[in-house]
Amino acid sequence: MTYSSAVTTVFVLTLAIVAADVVLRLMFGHGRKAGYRPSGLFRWLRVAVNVAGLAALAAAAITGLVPALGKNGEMTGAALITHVTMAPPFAIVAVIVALFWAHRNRFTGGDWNASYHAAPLRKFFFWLAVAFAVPTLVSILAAMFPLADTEGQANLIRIHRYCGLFLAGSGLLFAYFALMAWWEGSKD
Amino acid sequence: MGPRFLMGAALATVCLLQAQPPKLGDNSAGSRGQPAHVIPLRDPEGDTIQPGDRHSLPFSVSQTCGGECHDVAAVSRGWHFDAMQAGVAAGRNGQPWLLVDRETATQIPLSYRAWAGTYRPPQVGMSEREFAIHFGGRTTGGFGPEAHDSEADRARWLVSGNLEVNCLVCHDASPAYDPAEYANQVAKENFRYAPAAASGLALVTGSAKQMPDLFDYLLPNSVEDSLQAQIPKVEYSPANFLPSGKVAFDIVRQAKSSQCYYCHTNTDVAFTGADRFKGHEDIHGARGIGCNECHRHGLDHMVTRGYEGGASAALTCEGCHAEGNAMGAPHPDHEGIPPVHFSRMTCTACHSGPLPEQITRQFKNGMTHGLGEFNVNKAAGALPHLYYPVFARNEAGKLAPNRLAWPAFWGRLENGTVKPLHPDQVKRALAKGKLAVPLTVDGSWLNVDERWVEQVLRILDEDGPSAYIAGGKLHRLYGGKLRAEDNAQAQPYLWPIAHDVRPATQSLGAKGCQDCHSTDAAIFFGKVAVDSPLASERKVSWTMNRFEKNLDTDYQSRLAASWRYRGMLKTIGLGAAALLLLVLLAYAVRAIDRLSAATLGRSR
Repeated sequence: MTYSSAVTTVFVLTLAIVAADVVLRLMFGHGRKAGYRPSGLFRWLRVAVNVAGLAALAAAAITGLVPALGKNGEMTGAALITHVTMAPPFAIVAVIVALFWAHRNRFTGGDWNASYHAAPLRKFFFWLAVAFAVPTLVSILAAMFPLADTEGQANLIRIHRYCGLFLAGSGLLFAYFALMAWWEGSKD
Repeated sequence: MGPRFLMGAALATVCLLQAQPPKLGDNSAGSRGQPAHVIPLRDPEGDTIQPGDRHSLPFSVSQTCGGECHDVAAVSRGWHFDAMQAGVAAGRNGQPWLLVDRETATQIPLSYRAWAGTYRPPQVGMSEREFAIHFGGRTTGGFGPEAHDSEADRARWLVSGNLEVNCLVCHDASPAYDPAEYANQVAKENFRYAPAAASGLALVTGSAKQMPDLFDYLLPNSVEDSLQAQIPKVEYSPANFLPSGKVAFDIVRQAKSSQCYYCHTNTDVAFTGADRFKGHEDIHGARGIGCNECHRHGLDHMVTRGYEGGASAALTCEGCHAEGNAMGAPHPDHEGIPPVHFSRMTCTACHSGPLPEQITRQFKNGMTHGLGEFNVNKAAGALPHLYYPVFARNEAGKLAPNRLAWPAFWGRLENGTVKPLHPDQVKRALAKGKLAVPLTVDGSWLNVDERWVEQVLRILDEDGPSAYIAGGKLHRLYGGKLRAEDNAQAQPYLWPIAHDVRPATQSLGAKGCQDCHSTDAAIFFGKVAVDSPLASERKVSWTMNRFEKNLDTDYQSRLAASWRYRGMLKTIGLGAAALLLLVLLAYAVRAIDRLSAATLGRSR
């Protein structure tokens, strides 16, 4: 499987999961509730972090994945510069998002009792995204040091590309489920 | 009946007689010892030469080496001999011959191979005989009369004899073998005497150049008295003959590198003369690896040129340095270098030639500058002017270092192209207009300007629209005024640098990524000196990336500018990865704890 087809597959799978969730929500009659809303400065901070996180993820993903769908599948020129420029803000925001969401995304016994398991899916994709973020960052940074030979370099870049792809997919699904939880007014 | 016809006949014979066993010397038993070459000398008729002969004739290499022992016809189809043969693939651009004529400010790259940017000698009105006189002293021979020769040339071939294939150029390792003497004899048109003179076995005097068209070397004294002293004569030293009447040649199967270097020396102008000791050597040579270790060949003498995509992949940089290679050559790990470099750059880009500097350097070449010959002009400015390293894309689209020569010549404009004029034609125009300019002392360009070019073109235009190419421009008259314009034929001729190879510690990038990724990196933004007889044109230079087709210079600049933030990028990235890992581990530990508690039926 080429990288461009992997990108397409992950993108289609992500959309499929979102579509399935929408269908299940309609089937189980989930709707918006007047729920919990944190107030004051903390609320705005959370919103800002979430928006920044989503924007950074989108920017890194778009600059990283769109060139893969191009003619030769190589990232170079403006796309590479933009991608590299986006990397430090993304890394910083990723840490903040992880800190803001880690506690709320602990798996608990209650996760399995609800009629529709949106919350555990959100948690699952959150932890998946965090898990993929680490090798995504480490692999490309390791490639910047004289550590790996040519084949090792190619492998590091391959790891970066595939982990980055799965990070993008899981990150977007986490964002979707988090957005739905907010829309539903979930306290979780 | 010319050598080509003979070559064709020899080819046909070889094909027809494929079943014939190879000749004695071409069928090795496998001994690594050096076979003794105690052999009789044979003259052009095949007769044995004895030390006491009254009228000695020069020995013929093809008769002496090829009579019984070696298939000279097969050898003659090898790389060093086949340029003029029909149907031979040109191969990658290589070192051209450079026809230099200082009086007419001409420097034109020539080759019988179809290398874009060079001209076939007939295109400049140069016959094969004239080519042999000009450049034959630096060749391995293989010149003789052709069916299309002029009457005058045919007569002169009879006087000079053929410049036959000379095996000794590469294979005679005797300290007495003198390639400079060979070139000297060729310049005197003593073609049939040149190998004997160079071998040290005989003393050759006189000059065929001075002999009349009716001169017969078998009846040498038939010329008028005033020319008697100039009659080509060969005198063998009896001391060189063994009691058997044979001579002992110090023939080596594999040519020594010093023999290759006689023609294939490329030396930086800055490292000639007293500063020679400052020069460097190819790492392979320094490690004792001779030229022929990589540039191998069989009896066919099709020397492996060793470039990617060439005939023998095993004898390229990659072939020899592949992991687990049979040569035991070190395999480079290239740690930390992104693989994209290897798909976009040749090995030579980082490892061959001098490191790129802000302006290109000048070098001299054995073939073009007559290095090692008698009375050679050693001045730094001696023509031709050759520059390096120039980074340009090769046929595969990879960036590679090249050598460069700027063409400078006069020509006729015909159907949108410039047909070069022979320097003699231009000299007649100079004489007509009394435009001859004194030569410079250092052997460099004439001191001329646009006005001179305008005047010369005015005279040349009388016989048809003419142009002068120099400094990367085509100069022609429009309404009596000189105008310079871009033209494809004015583009410099480039040929790739293969040597000298630098090891990893001296490679481009050894000091860090910013060897190339800096805003003024010479590999992209260095200057290529423009050479021209016109001083005004020498003041300008071309930027290196002009030769690097499709290079995104804006991207390279921005990438280079971003390098100062690379440390920050690494710090932030690694810090973030560490924190994310901590978060992951912290909750993983808690999850494991909960899982463990669950096995006891407790919830935490």
